[in-house]
Amino acid sequence: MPSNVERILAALEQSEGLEGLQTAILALRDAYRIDHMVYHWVSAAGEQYGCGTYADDWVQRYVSEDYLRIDPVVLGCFQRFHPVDWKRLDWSSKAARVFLKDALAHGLGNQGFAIPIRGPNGQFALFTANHRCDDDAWAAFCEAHRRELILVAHYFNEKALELEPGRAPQPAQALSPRELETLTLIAMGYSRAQVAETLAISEYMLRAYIESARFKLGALNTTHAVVRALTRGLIVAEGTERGQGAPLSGAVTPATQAARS
Amino acid sequence: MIRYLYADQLATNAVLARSMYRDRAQQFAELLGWEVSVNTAGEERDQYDALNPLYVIWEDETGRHGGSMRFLPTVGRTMVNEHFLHLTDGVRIESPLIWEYTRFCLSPGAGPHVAAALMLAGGRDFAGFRVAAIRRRVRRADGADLSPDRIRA
Repeated sequence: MPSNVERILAALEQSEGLEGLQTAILALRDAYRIDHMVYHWVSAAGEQYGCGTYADDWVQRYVSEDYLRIDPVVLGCFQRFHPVDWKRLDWSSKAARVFLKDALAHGLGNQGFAIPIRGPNGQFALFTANHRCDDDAWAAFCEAHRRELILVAHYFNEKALELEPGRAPQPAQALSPRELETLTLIAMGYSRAQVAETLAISEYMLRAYIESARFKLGALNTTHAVVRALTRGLIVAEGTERGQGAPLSGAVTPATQAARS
Repeated sequence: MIRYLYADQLATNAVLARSMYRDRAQQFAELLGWEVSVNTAGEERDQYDALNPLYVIWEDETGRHGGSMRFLPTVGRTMVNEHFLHLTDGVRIESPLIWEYTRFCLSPGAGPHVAAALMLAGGRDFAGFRVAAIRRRVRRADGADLSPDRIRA
């Protein structure tokens, strides 16, 4: 992961308004060293909204030509939830080929990775990474960054949802006691196997807890999630607890910590 | 042959879709005795089928359902978060990197290769995904144990 992605996402989280989304997407595009990155919200009524690094004349052309109706990326991803490489979409129609040619002429790269996002109440958005390179280089890029990009796409969407007019702010997603225990034990230096054993759950379930907590914290990886939980005061980690073999229930939450001190 | 179809694509695969819903009725209502709703056409569907899930379906030579499983993204509504929170100690499993699969179903005549193919197709990452499964023991009508874990082993 490029080193400053966490910082960019933290700034995005603190930002207000559309400018924050645009600033973040520019910085992310640069951090990942690709030609373009775009967040594109399409409502059921066909209204569009978004931010990104495509040239203005391409964005205007996309709207004026009504490309939304023939764009294979939108058609292939609408109401879906699995990310796709552009190459796997259907570009066989004449209209699609003309569209692609026009896109390339306006500075888009030949490679794309599209991440569909299905939000609440049928909301739909697309997050796209685009670049000019050969197939092997693109496959390597996607393999290396796919998971982060999926998370980044969803963090963009969460932010965009906040900006929707008339939308009540959603309370931050609280972590459940089990998620807090998991993060606390990781913060204390337990291995995954030790955490799973301590909590008497499978490592398979533990992975689900960690990924779930990570998403709720807006984090990109486990370390990032632990740092966020610590800095927000959600967990308190004491390295000595492990050595003393303290019972888990007494070791893990700020509430129990406070009660004992 | 393994097919990956979203619910809105089932309309153009009517024979496949109908046979899937009927096999589900047979497996979940008749064989396992779950309290699922079966319509007058003998098809089992629930509210999650209306959320445009992705089905991974084994289609047999006659174009009918041989086995299937249903995927939903955990950032939306899922069974694990709405009905099975006790299995996760109250943790809402929610991540764009995790999908839920449910309604793992095999048609009465399906051989072990169908279950294996489904598990490979579903467990194999679609695009680098992990899949959160509510694992249940799966038994075919004749009593053969077709639990995913057993098959994978």
